[in-house]
Amino acid sequence: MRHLLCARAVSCALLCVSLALCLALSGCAATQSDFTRQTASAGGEFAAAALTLAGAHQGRLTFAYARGSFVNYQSQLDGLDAQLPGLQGAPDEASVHHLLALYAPAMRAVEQPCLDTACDWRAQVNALNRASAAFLRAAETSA
Amino acid sequence: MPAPPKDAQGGPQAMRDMMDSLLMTRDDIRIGRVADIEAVWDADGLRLTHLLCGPQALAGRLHPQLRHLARWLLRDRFERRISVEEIVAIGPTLRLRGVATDYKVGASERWLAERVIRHIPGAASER
Amino acid sequence: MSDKKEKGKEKSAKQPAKWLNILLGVVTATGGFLDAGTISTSGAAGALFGLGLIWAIVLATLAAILLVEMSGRLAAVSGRPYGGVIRERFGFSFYLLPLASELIAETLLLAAEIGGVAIAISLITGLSWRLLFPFVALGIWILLWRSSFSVIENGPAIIGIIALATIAAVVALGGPPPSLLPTLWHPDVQQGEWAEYLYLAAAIMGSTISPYLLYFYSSGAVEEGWSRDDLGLNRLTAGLGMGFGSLCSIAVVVLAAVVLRPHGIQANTLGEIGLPMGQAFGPVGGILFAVILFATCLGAAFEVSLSLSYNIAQGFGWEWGEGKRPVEAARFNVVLTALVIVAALIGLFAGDPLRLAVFASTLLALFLPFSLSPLLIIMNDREYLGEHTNGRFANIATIAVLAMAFLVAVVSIPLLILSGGGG
Repeated sequence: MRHLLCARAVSCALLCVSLALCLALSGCAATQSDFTRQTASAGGEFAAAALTLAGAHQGRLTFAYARGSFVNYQSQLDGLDAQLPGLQGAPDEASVHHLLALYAPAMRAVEQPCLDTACDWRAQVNALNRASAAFLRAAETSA
Repeated sequence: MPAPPKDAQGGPQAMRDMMDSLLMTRDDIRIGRVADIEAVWDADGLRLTHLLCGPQALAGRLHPQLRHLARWLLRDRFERRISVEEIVAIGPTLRLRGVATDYKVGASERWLAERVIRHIPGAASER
Repeated sequence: MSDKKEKGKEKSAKQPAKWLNILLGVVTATGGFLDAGTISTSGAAGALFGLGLIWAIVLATLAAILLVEMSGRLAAVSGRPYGGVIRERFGFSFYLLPLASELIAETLLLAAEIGGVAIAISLITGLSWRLLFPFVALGIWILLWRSSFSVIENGPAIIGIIALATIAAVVALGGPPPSLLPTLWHPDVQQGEWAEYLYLAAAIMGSTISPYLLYFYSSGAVEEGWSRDDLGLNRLTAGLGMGFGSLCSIAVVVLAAVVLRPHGIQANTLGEIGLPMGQAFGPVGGILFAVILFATCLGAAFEVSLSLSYNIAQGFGWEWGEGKRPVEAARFNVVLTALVIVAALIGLFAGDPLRLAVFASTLLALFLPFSLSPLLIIMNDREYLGEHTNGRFANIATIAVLAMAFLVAVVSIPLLILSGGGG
């Protein structure tokens, strides 16, 4: 019983300190806005897709590896276009519009990556790199 | 039949030590743990009579009200008692006089083995 | 032949087996150190903060070595596993705290490990991991159902020794560039990134000091019949095995810092974490990473599901053990089967295994005090350990680890909320 009371006291103490810390950290700008977090994440994901696609065609990765990876890139990036304008910390409409214009072709490459020789993989890598650079820049400026 | 070890017959300390002990039968099968104990006051003082196992006894360990609730729900169906006479050795493991099939504690093990597990391929073969 | 010669012959015949045992133990611990949680948190740490979280891996590894050695010593000396001893020593009500916390965090972790195996196969075959997931879960259950403890423990771990290839990849890429080295002692954390930095530190602690290791390791020692004679083996396995394992973890951090970070890649998916291996070794590198992921996640899936089932069976005093036929430990095997089914259902609907692994690691960090604090008292109980109770140094170190565990638990939930779950 003594151990249980002790455990309950510890649980309460953990909860109280956690709440205090939560308030303190959010008060001293230790966190990023949703927009910054999402754009940085998407920028990284487009960059990974570009690196994977180029790697597969330049002999650094197998096509199977690339195919397996792209399924995950797609699930990470799906639906971002709908979320982006409404995210907390989002900049003006024109900036968001610019990002969405780059998102569309990059997303097409993520959904249907060129993983054989019959298509223009370099164009897809360029689209992915452009989107990546723009999203990472947007994350940096909004931070 | 030999008498149970002296420690098993009473004394608050011995009783506390028995709580949560592992119950092992003569054929080296673990059948459960002591969830609670039953004792009576008589001329010699407090005397342990039974070991209790089952969800109601366990619920009572958490809160007395929970024991009533569990009893209302389960109607003593899974509650098991083992007479203190059955204990042959005490310690973190309580050794019992009989074999596993002599006790209702652990009956769910046999029920699951016979009714569920045995029907899955490979259940009865060596790993 | 004289008695002495006879003894000498006997000893030399036993010697190779003993060394083989030690080698196998070290290999198992090395391969078993990594899992979906450690790979995910290490990859994300390197990609986001360079070498700035290696301190957390080193600290967590030292703590894990200490705790695993103690749980092995407890099992070797007393012949009793950790889960059962918690119930005996602290009573049913207290026992429910670590049990419930393990049940929540480790079922999620099991789902992530199954997902990790599915992703590994998808990286080799090119098939969608979601398609593979149910088959992987079924395969894991069949292996758990049919295999002996030694196959479960050593099989994936021996394949997992390929994880040492991550260290070779760091060498092949020429090591971290000089510009990256200062991040080792001066982490590059921008304003607004502190919550994420500390969240990852907590997740690293949770994934490295996973309490399932204690339950699994002590139960394994009982299954294998360890005695006081195995205390040396226990120390070597815990120290060397986990030491090598953590070197692989650090190598994953370095690889992510060198290759992914300059591109802004955050290592949000497991496939991304393998990209540096391709950079270092070509197409073979990607396959090597997939094999490492496969073996380590498979091993961890076995360990997590078994440790939970061990914990429940030992706590309630049921028959347990992978050495027994399923009908001889029916309740244990029902729990094992139910856990795999629940984890598979969670994994099917929960989304990306990497995020699930990081989230589960943070939950493990939150619950660390419940699982670890009983160890300090048990390891000083002569009834269980005789003359092998903790010395003063071990006690001070354990108190330090507990203090760290409390700190990590305190910060994990606010950081989980504030960092947006690491994503």
